[in-house]
This record gives sequence, structure tokens and C-alpha cells, in this order.
Amino acid sequence: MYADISLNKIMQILSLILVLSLSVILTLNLEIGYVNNANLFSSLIKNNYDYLKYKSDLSNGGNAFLVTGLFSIFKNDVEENSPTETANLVPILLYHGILDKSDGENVLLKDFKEQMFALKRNGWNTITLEELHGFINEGKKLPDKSFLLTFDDGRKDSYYPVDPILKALDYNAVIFVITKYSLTQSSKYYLDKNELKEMLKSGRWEIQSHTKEGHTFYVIDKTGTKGHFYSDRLWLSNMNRLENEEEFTSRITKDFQESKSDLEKNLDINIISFAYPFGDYGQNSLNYSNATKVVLKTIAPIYPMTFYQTWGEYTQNSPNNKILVKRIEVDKDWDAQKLLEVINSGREKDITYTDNFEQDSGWITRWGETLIDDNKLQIKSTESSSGALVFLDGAQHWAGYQFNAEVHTIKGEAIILVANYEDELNYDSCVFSTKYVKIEQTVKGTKKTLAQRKGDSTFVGTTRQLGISTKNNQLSCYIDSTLIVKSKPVDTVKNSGGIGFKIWDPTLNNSEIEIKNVSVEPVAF
Amino acid sequence: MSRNKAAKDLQSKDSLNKINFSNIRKILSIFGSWFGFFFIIYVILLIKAVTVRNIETNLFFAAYSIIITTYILSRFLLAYFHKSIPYNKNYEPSVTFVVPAKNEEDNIRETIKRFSEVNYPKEKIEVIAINDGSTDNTLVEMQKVSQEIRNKGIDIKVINWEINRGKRDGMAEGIKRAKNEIVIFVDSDSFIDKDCVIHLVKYFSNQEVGAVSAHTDVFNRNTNLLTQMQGARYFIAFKVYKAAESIFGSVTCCPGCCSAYRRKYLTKVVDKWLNQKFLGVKCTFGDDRSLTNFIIKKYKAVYSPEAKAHTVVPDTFKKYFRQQQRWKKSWVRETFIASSFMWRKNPLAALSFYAYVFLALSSSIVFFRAVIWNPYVTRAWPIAYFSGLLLMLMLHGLYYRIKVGKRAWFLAILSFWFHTILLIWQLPWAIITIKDSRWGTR
Repeated sequence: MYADISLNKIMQILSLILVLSLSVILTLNLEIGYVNNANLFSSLIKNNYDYLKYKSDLSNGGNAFLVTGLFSIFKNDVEENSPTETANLVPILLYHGILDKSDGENVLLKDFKEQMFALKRNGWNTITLEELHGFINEGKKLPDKSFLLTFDDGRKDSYYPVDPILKALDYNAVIFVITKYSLTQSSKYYLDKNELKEMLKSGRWEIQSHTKEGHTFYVIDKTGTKGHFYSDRLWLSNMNRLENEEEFTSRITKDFQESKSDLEKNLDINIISFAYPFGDYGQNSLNYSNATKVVLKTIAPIYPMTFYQTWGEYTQNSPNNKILVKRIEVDKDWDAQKLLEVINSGREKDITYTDNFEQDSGWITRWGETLIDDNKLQIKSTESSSGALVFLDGAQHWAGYQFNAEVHTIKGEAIILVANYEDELNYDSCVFSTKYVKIEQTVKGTKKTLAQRKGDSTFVGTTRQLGISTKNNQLSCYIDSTLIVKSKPVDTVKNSGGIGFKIWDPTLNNSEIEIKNVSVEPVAF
Repeated sequence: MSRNKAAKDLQSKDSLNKINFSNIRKILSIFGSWFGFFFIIYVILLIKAVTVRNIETNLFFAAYSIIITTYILSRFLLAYFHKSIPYNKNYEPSVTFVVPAKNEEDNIRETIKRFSEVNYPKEKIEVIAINDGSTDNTLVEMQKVSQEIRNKGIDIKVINWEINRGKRDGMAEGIKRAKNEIVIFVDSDSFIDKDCVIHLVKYFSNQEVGAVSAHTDVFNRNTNLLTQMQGARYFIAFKVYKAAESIFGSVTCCPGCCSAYRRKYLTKVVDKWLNQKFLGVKCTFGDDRSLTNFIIKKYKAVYSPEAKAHTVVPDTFKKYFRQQQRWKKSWVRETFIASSFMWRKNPLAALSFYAYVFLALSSSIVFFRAVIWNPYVTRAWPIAYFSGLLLMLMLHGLYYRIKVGKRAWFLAILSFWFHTILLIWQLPWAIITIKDSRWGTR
């Protein structure tokens, strides 16, 4: 043997082996979950690098990277204003892919990072699905400033850029995957089964259903119009007819069930929620007016929570929202500041409320057109609408109040003050017009006049103080602080909801008002 | 006067600082390189640890990945433990240099001249130069230089063959005519250092040793990137891989550039070797690997890192390509033969040998899967494969940089990486065309 097997050399090699294997074991314990078969090397390095970078960004605003990053692994030095109160409303954010380069639809990584960092710095923390379910369905408490982070479609670019950020901020997220793509094939675009398993192992990700077959468009009439899988009746070309209600129900039932059981079997997890493709649970149906009812009835026994993205609705969730869970779809043009504004304006507002429109406190336009500018809220109808409806976000829990507004009418037949607003189908109102002032209640879209008085005031061209009161389960309407009409106490009067404005005119594009001041005060029952 | 002294003091202090500074820089750069070296090992181990976790996904490829890592890292480890023996003044056997040459008019003179300059008793040196049917001035150069060194008291014979017979015949002729105990083959384009002989012969005091390989560096390293790359490759092949084999005395190839053999053992095998046939075809190339094979069947072959020689390597891609194809073919042939007896050697040496055979034969399958099949199926670039390969080569490159000092090691490694990928098909091709003995002569 031509070898020098001295104790010295052996000790050197042994200590080297010790150091190397210890480093490997430590590193793997630190982040074993990142590595997947496909891009093993790059993802391992990149994710750890990014994690350290974000960690260091978080602790010092982002200068001396790496060294601080390395040290900050061992301590948790985020300045959190940990809220002591409990949450009344929970916002849920929806993203799709997170990109390096804009595609005109998805949020950029730099914006996403800033948004998450801003949320963290402002004391916001993520919750899990189970916590959300407890909050909505079981009356469990959550700390204030809790939110749920969700991603739709199960794209690779929802995971790889995001995961180091989640890790650095100690956040977690839910990803809704299309089982047809993620469980049966491997692609460059969608996450595959192995990746999903790694995500679950990390403890930062929950995986839920976003449909099996329903993410593409289907033909819904004989001319070839394309519609949605869950809200339209499909065209059966071999029989030259539309599917009937029974066929529709069994088709969507099958997909709801299969996407759930596929995930449960393949990933050994519990599926309790579903995100509607395109956020459509039937409300956007083109050929089936009964869709919403059927979809909700069908899905309820399978999934306790179903997610959609809101448009012109209250943006955050309260225990009143049962099966339909609201999400805020983050726009690609929002920066971190804008996202914070959106979330803050949807938070529960104090019932003693004044607004002089210096900024937008969360007025949401359901239809028509609104603009907050020059200390005024302008509301007008459009070329395709006979009126407009706008309401205040974060006021859905108000009960028993007097709502006054200084209204300048430019044109239009009726100015309507809305109270107890739940959604466009459920609210109370005072309708002011030159011909009459009436108290109108809308329940499940059906209007009912509770009281009415012949009118004698003019509105167009004038500025009047209009008011509505919901005191003692009675509705009253005021003009310039004078009681005009009052309903009888009715049992069926809703006893809570927010405020809003509505305008109307028989002619399209012919109503417009400006609001200068709004005040709300609680009144005793 | 005092001011002068002060200035002088300052000056010397200054130069002292300078020296310190450059020393520190040197130390830092060595330290940095070692750090890089072990960091790469760390990254490789990390990847392998993950591979082990996923081993059930694909047993064959995971096994390949683990074996190749173990193999390469164990080479560095063994090389670290390799020890050469000291020169013993009481043991000075007589030596015969054998130099077959064909069309080497540029180099032959220097090659032979160096034999007369070695630190060894002149009376113990014999030189046999064979002109193997050169069509240039090789013979003239040979005769000129033989006159020169004969004047220095060295016994030199020039054998002239009008018609080319081949290198193997030239070497065999040298063996048959040699009178001395040790035969040292030197290629006609290789140059030995002064101390080469003493460090070669010292191993023969052990009767078990039949062959000793010198350490050969690339003479024309600075010609271009291709030769720089080969410079790095030669260095690593000798300093790491041959050193590792040498621990057990089972160096599988004592290269023709400069290797010494015990004549007593050579004469026993020379005829068999000269008439070697493989699959019915006469073997015309890979003489060195083949001769080593005949010797290590019974005896030991070792590597002497202190015995230094320099050789001229191909400086155009075409020449390099042909040389590699020849080497691959002789590797296939001789490895097949060696497989029949290597198991009788030291278990660790045998294991290494068979592991290497497995790796070499699997490499093209792994390459095909990683670079052609997988990208075709998944439409993804084989980044992991290429970067893994580069990482492994970087490990060698850093070792080279640490051992030889400042050189264009990085480009050399990049180029080696490139050539490895480019020529990966040569081995399967060599297997397919093993019976085709064209390109046999240079």
C-alpha cells in the first residue's frame, strides 16, 4: 500500500466529513420541503437564497443582505402590532400567478412582496381554512387583522416565487387546484402531484379543489356560444338539445365529488372547500336562470365553504356568510398602499360615522357610475342604466341608526336613501321624488311599499338634507330634518345592514346627484 | 546619515509590508479556493441526500447518481492518503530508454537530449531510438542528437526502419534489444525532467512492482484553450485518479508518454503483447494500456508523482477528437480484458474498477435520458444534468487551481465540460465499432 494512513490525516478527514455531513443534515432539516424532482438544484438554491433575502429585508429594510438574513433565521424580530381585539370581518385575498414580467393580468412579484410585507408590518396575519371555517360556521373568535391568502388554478408560479415569502413572514396560504391538470399529468405550467406533496410537507400550504373539468369553456347552444361549466346548461349536439335540469345537476355533482375525492385519495388530505372557476356559482349564467339555486343546493352537502370573488358587494366575511365566501381579487395595478386601503376600507366601521369625502372610505358601486372628488360623492347613471346604486363597505353590522346626507340633485326622478343594506336584493329605503316620498322594503328582490305620502318638494337643482331612520324597527324618512313619512313597526323589518344611495329615472342616463356630507348616529331601540 | 538610515528602515519596512501583503493575498486565495472546493462538495452532498430520499422513483438513475458521486469523492479522498516512497541511493538499477518515433523531426531531438541530462550515472543509461519509417527528417535529427549524447558518454543505438511498422513493434523491438534492468518508454513528443529517472526507478526495489507511471504535464499548455483544458485534465488524471489507483498498486494505465517497466517481466509477455488479438482483429493502438494490463495481471503498477515529464498534446479539435476516439476504443478493449482479473486485486481497488466500468457504460444512457428523453417529454431544459456535471468538473478545476496556482482553470473546466457533452457518444460508438482498427496509427 502506497498510502500514508497517519492519525493526523485520518483525524483531518474525519473532522471534514463531520462538518460536511452536519451542514448537509442541518440544511435539509432547514428546508427539505423545497426540493422536487423537476428542478431540484435551482429551486433548492433559489428558495433558500430568496428566503434569506426576504428575511433580511423584513428585519432591516433590505440593505445588508445575507449576513442579517442568516442571523435572522434564529430570531423573530418582526415588529408586529399584535392585535388584542377579535376580528368581526375577515378579508380573503385572491391571486393567481405571481410573475417577474407582466402579462397584463397577474400580479408582479415585486408588488406581491411589498403587499405581503406591508400586511405583516401592519399587523396582519394569515389564518388557515379550518380557522376560517370556525369563524364563519361555529362562532369561533379570531384575532383582529386576520386574513386568508388564496391562489387559484394551482400554477407553478403561485408556488415557487411565493413560498420563500410565506416562509420569511411565517404566513400560510391555500391553493385551489384543477385536479384534471395537477393530478393526472405533469406540465411546465401547473403544479404536479409531487410538488403538491412537497407543499403539504412544508406546512405552509393547504390544497383544495378548484374543479376537475370545469375550468374550460363549453358550448351552450347550437350556434356554438361558449359558457361556464357550472352555471350554464350545455348543448348536447348529438341530441340537438340543451341538457335538462337533471342532467345539469348530475354533471356538476359528479365534478364536485370527483375533484374532492381525487384530491383526498392522492394527497391524503381533507377537502372542505371549493373555489368556483371564474368565481361563477351561477350568477353569471347565460342560459339557466335557476343556476345559482341549483349550484348552491348541490354543492352544500359536499363542501362546507365555497369561494368566489366579489364584484360590487361587501368585500369581507362575517359569520353571516354561510356557504358563499367572499374574496378580494387583487388587481395587477394595485401597489401595497392600495391593497392596504382596500382592506382597511372593508373593515367594520364605527356606527357613529361622518364622511365628507376627503378620501374614499369604501364606497362600493353596484351599478351606475360614481366618483369621489372635490369633497363630493358624484353618482350618475350611464348610457346603459336608468340609475345607480352605491353603498358603504364595512357597515353591514350597523343596527338602529339615523342616516343623514346632504344631497344635491342634478337630474333624475327619484333619489333613494338606502339603509339596512345587505345586498342588492335585500335592503330598506326611503324613495324621494317630486310626486311622492315612500318607504320601500326589498326582500329577496321583491319590492314592497310600507308607507307613502304625496310629495310636494322639488329636488332637481336644489340641495336638501335627506334622512332615513331605522329606530325601533320602524323606518322613517326626513327632508331637512322634518319627518315626512313613518312606517308601522313591522316584525319583518330587517334590523341590521349598511347605508347607501340609489338613483332612478325612467330614461337611461338621466339621473345624477352629488353628496356632500354623510352622517350616521346610533339611535336607541 | 541618520536620515539615510531612517529612509532605509522605512524602505525595508515597506518591502516587508509588500511581501506580507502578497503572502496574505496568496493565502487568502488558496483559502478561498479550498472553501469553494468544500462548498461544492457540500452542495453535491446536499443534492445526493435529496436523491436518496427519492430513490424509489427511479432506482437505476438514482443509483448511478450516488455511485458516481461516491466514486469521484473517494478518488480525492484516496489521493489525499497516497504516499510516495523516498529515493534510495543504494538502489540504482541500469535503465534503457526506448523511443519509437515517426515523423517527429520537431521534437525528437529535445526528447533524446534530455536523457543525457538526467541526474543518474551515465554508465547506467542506454538509449534505443527507433525511426519507424518517418517521411521527414526524423532520422537525421536522431543521428545528430545521438552523436551529441554519445559524446557525453551515453550508450545510444539508432534503429532505422525504412517502412513503418507501428508503435507497438517499435516498443517491442526496444524491449528485445534492451540490455538494462529497467525499460523506460518515452514518447517521441515527450520531455523528461532531470529527476525523472531516480523517482521512477526507486519503486522497483520492491520486486512486486512491474511498472511505474511518471507524472506527465502538458508541454504546450499555453497554445490555446484546447491545450489548456488538456493541461487541467492531465493534471487531475495523474494527481487524483492515478494516485488513488496507485495506493493499491493497480494503476490501470501507465501511459506511453513516460513510464518505466521491469525488463525481466516485459520479456515474458512481449510476444503475446505484440501479437495481441481482440475479437480476431490485431490490436494496433492503445499499446500502453494494453502493456500495463499484461503486467498488472501478476505484478503491481504504481504512480510516481515526483517523476516528471511533459508531453505535447493535440492542439486542434480534429486531432483531439481522433485521439479521444482511439483512447475510448482501447479503453473498451482493455477494460474488458482487465475485468477478467481485477477482482483478484485489493477489494477496494477492484470495487473502484468495476464501479468505474459501470459508470462509464451507463453514462451515455443517463445522458440520453437527461438531455434528450426527459426534455422531449417534459419540454424542460436539462438544467439539473448540465449544472450537476459542471459542478463536478468545477470541483476538479478548483483542485487544479489550488495545486498549480494561477492558471486559466475556469475556462479550461468550462471547455472540458463542453467537450464532455460534445463527445459523450464516443464511448458507445467505440463499442459499436470496436472491430474497426482504422485511425490506429497517428
